[in-house]
Amino acid sequence: MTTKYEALTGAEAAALAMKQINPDVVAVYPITPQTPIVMKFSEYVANGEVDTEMVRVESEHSAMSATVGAAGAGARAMTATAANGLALMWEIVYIAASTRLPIVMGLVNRALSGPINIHCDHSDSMGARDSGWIQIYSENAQEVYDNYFMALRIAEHKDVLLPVMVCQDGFITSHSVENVLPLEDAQVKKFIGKKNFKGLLTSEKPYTIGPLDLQDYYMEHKMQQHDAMKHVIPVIEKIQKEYAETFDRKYEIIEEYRTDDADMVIVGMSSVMGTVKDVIDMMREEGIKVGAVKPRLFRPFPAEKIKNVLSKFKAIIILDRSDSFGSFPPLYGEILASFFAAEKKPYIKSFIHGLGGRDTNVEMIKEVISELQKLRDTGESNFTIDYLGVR
Amino acid sequence: MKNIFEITWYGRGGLGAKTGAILLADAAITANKFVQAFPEYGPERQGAPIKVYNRISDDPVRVHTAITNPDFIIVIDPSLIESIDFEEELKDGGKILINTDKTPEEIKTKMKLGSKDANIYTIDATGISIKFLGKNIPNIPILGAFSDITKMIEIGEIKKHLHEKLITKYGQDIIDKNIQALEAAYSEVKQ
Repeated sequence: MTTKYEALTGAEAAALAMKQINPDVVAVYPITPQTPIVMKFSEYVANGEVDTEMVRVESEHSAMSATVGAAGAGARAMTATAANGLALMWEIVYIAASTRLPIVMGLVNRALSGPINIHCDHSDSMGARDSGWIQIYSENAQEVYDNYFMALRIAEHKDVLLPVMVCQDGFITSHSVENVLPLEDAQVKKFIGKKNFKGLLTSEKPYTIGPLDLQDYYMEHKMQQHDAMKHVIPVIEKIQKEYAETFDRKYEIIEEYRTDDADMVIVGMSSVMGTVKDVIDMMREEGIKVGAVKPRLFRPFPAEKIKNVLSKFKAIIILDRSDSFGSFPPLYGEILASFFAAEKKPYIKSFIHGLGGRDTNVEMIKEVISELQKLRDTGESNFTIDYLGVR
Repeated sequence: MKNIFEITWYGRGGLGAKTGAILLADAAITANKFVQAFPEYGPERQGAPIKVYNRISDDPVRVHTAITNPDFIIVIDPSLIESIDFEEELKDGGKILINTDKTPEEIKTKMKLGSKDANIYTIDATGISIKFLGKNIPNIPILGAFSDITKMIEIGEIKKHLHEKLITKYGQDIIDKNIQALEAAYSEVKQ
């Protein structure tokens, strides 16, 4: 294995992973902050470093349509987008999932307008949480890179056959240069293996895919999608285990940080959790027993696992990087639901943070920990939702 | 967060602050460091003030926030000097490197330093850039000066990455001129 770190942005790490996957088809339209992925990948195509047929489309709606068409014909097909781009491909996003196509899409999380904002939050992917896609969230450029290979294996697994979004935080991860330890091309090739999905469309046995499906069968097909999602967690665990054994890189569906003796934790996803880990180290030096829990998977939501992990603590605060106007922020809401039937429940509180790229800094995380202590000791703010760092 | 060396670059679009920060990160990785290099993105346009950040550490860098209290401030465009609150921003005992033909003593009077204990260095990076490249792209001489002041990164490493990163975009001639500018800056820092 290579032991040489490279200086790569999250976007470059995604493009490098795509290059090593060498997909048959990439159909993609540029949008900030996803653009550096397609820029870098186009370079690989232009230099003949991949065999990919790159389809330069005129919109994201077409990008997803072409990806669906290619995957339907049995190609390993990929794309990438962000925010308004995802919104424009919306209709076909659902079709990709309900047609059970193993597409891997890089999603560079960015706020959805309006007003127009190009910076990070999770409003784009959270909007798509019920589209039937698997969603994996990455903390840093290294995770982005590694998640691509696991995502491909998950998507193409015979018990799954569902599309996967590999999410990374816009600008914070996508445009920040960090140390990334790449794998050798041959190692990647061996790990991802040959595609075992033959496609849906064949000339030998022509038939129609995705036609009208009304009252008589639509509901059965939706139930099958729900059922397919139930297979995902065991498959991911198996693939993560294989990845760890092969490359000595440990990924778990739920990562725990300094939780062994903790009585309270911060729960959150993606780049903010790096900051959280650093602040936890600082607080630990002051004798405060705080830890962190980071779900890498949001769809399917690992409800049973999260309940088992979190029921150990007296108090938890959940950080959501998106809002759900008129309801609970997404991660908070899922965790509440996971606990409803549990006998032992921690105190629980929500903070919405970092909307539109607002910097979630060390002081804010310290504030969260001080709120956690109050929550643990008094339970007063149980079930409340607040905004972090809002004037 | 312990033992992370933090740098904030103050510049304007087009002066190469971002490229400078990335080259610094590249060179630091070769020296077995963990790094970050990232710009603070606003509406991007040539000439607008920008900030670019670097973190350099012996341990993996996990924090994902803007830098508010750097160990080292680089001012690549001296016209910004009066608008920066050095007293508020700079870590105590931190260092400031300014692209100017003036001496630290001369420039100090224009800076908002308050009672801050700061080490100020100047380098005429624009002058060096114009001498070797015929235009004002002061990022590479700034890296030479940074290397001289901090001894954190060898200029040999910077040279190597300058070549790797920019050869296809700019060609050998421009690379050679930048390397001359880098070397010239290494010994021309004023303190």
